[in-house]
Amino acid sequence: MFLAFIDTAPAMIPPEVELTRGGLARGGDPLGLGPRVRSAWAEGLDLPSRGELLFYAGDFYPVMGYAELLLRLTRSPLSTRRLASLGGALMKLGLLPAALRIAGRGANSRYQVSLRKAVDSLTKLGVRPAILREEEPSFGAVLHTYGLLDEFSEHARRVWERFREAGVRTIVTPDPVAALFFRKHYPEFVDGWDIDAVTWVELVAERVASEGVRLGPVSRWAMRVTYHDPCVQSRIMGMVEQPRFLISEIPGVELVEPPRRGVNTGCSGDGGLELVQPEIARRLARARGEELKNTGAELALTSCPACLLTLRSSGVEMFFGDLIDMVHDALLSAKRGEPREVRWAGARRPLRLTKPKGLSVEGLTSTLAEFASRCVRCGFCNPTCSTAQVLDGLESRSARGRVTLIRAMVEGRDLRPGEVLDRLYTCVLCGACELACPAGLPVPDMIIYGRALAIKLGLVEREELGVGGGGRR
Amino acid sequence: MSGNASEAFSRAIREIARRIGGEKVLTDPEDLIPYSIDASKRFEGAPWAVVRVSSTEDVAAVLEVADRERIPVIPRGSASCLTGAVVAKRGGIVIDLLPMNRVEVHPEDMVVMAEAGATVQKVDEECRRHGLMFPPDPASSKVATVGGALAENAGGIRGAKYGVMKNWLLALEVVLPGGRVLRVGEPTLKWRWGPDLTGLFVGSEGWLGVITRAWFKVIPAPERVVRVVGVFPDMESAGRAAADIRASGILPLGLEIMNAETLRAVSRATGIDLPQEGAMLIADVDGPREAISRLAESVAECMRRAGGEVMLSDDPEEMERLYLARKMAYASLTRLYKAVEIEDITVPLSRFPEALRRIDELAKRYGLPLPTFGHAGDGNVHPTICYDPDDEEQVRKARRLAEEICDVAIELGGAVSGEHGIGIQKIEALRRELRARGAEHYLDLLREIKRILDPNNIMNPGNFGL
Repeated sequence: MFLAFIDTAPAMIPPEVELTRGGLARGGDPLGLGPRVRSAWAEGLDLPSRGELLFYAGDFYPVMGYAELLLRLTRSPLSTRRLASLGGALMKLGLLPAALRIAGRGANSRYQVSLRKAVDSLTKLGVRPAILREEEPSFGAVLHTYGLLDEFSEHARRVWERFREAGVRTIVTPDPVAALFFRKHYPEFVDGWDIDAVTWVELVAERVASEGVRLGPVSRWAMRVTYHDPCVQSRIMGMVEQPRFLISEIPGVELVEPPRRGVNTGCSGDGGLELVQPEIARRLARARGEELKNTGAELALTSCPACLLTLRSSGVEMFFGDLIDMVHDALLSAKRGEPREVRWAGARRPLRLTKPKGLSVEGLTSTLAEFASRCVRCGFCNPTCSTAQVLDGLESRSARGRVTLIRAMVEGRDLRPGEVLDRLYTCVLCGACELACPAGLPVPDMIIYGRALAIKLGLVEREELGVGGGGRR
Repeated sequence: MSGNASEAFSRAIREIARRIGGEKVLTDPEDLIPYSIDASKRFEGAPWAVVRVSSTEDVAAVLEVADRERIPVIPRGSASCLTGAVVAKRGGIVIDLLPMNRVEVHPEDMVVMAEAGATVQKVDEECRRHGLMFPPDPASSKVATVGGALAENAGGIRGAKYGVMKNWLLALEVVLPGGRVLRVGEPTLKWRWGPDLTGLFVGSEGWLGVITRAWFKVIPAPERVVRVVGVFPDMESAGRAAADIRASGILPLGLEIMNAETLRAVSRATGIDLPQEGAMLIADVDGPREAISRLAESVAECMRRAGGEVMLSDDPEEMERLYLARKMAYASLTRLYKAVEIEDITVPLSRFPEALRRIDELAKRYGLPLPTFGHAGDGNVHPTICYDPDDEEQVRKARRLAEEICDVAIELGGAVSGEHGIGIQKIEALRRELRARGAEHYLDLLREIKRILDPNNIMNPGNFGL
């Protein structure tokens, strides 16, 4: 069945995207590793398998070590594209997941440990969530990110059913991307979606304050740390103070800030880029890694599995760790104090939804045309654009350039959808442009819908030309 | 492109790629379309190729080949200009200068060198590391490049005290058609081998050559800045306060004015609580610690005398809050209206209150929203025409209103553009201004100068109607 699913894929989608899409279809996660590998982190945990509060591990944490291995392979003489093409074939045969399962186990254990510590921290704070183990569905990040919106929309509905069967009302997740999806993209794509989502950092910070927990010292950790704000957590969801609150609560730990922080954080090269544009992703990761190292801290903490992956693979000689691990250690030696009322600026901020007017060519065109017509072309977004920064402001791979391309596409200008998609795929969806836009355009959403439209126009074009499957233009 | 032109272009682009590296040359339509616009939102034109230069030699190679093959060349920075100056009106090659963005501060010389693609903000930031300041600060300084700001002779908020780009320029490196590299001036605080040809390239909007590097003088950053904000019953009294401040012998760093329409738009778009009637004047006063409160108090007194209610602050956060209304003006309008066209007239200081009154009358007569804000310190004001581009009647009205606004400037002895430039948008208005001054031959003279430096008319043809 999944083979049929893969074979209907539009041929203009690059093999790297095809690989993760095949993985999702085959094993339920981007690498196709399967529910057993994915749920290995939860082995032996005594937690219910249904309940109103669900701990959701997400698509990345449970398999990130395997992705690290794959990323290392792409730096071998095999180019990413060749590897991906090969990987696609291997994926179909189920050989790639098998090989990864064997070779990547060691690298994966630290991500698994973080997940267990995340759950254990919650129980120590009096929160006992349910976990779905092998039944935990992927949130479909790769489908949405790469613009495969029909599939995402269908997938999201199935996920909702799964959650409803398990009686879930609120999701807590250590993965900020998953939280963003459940707070923004699921309400955009699933009518009636009524499940709330919080990040682990958000909930733990709230509980530490409200329960009057005094975090203890963490002797085996560095005393001088810096923090890398994941764009999704800080800029898009507005959580800047919560991780800093947690770090500042740990006695003896000093926080030194990098120049780009909070809502103005710098990208470490994820956002799906490491797969489709590895060169640019690597330059971003390296630049961000160096910036964190130059703070003089001994350790850089963050709260996003994708950021951890890219920073750890950046080649910068520094320890990159998960905030979960440090906070968990601090909870082990914590004492009880007076409850505190702390208010954070971005706490549980409602997110702006951008529902497309349908997913057909017409629906996407009309949604995009309206946004694109409001672009004032000032270019204030460009200097904040993560990819433009490492490409000397190359307009066609910067925020305003992509919006201009999208407008040209919806105006029916003579463009090759595959080439448009290539430019749109360079965006990391970091949201810096949206913050800088005087007209307040939801640029990352436009990019996603633009990708979807380019893919569809590519299909239309191929049908008109009477071209069958295979071959990328 | 005709057959011959197309052949010449292919030949040229092959040679350029061979000489400076193929990776710097873009010819895919999907790369060219993003280079077809500027911030005017009205003018568009895709180039045939984009060349991303990384050195003066690269620029020289492009101009040598393009001149030989008679291919138009458009120098481009961040394309944040509002007049269509950098769109490829007749096709050709866009030279993208953004990769040339080095900045070198020489604190002991009080001089900064910047490549054309560096942003104005970057130049200032680099200066601040040495306790110095680069005074010009166009509202777009985050994106505006040194090359573009010079070619447009941009001003900014601090223009009230520190003027425009040309006031700080010491020397220029310019590449001329044919590939000759011209150096004008010296990076010293004084030099004189006249006439000063740096001024020839300032405001030339890319139709004489390509500015590649510039040397500017810089000054010590001010010790203290205090922000004084006054709310007035109407624009004219705010304008009077501005004139009074200037007459009292105080030279504010910036002196920004906003009308009620602007205040209401900012309130509506952002939810910031602002007065809904009257006008607002924001004065920044800089000076040494010992004198600053006396200067600020004098400014406040001028405002009170003109009927203003006054607040003042030197706390960075409070200053930022007080400035929000001005900072969010343009952004708020773009959120509220489908089409926003910003005008840019300038008048003698003494005529400023009258200009404001006449703009107000025009707004009433045309029935289009006309939020007006600007730099009261140097007589430069931006009445901003808001209209629906899908309504033909409104479009016609907007065009006519723009003409009348320019006529106000001309009649009051001012200019049709204070800092945004001519490009395509202001060609007719410039002609009217020149006619009113009996200076129609000015454009002929420009044409002759252009013929000397650019005999084949390859440099940004179409700007200024040249």
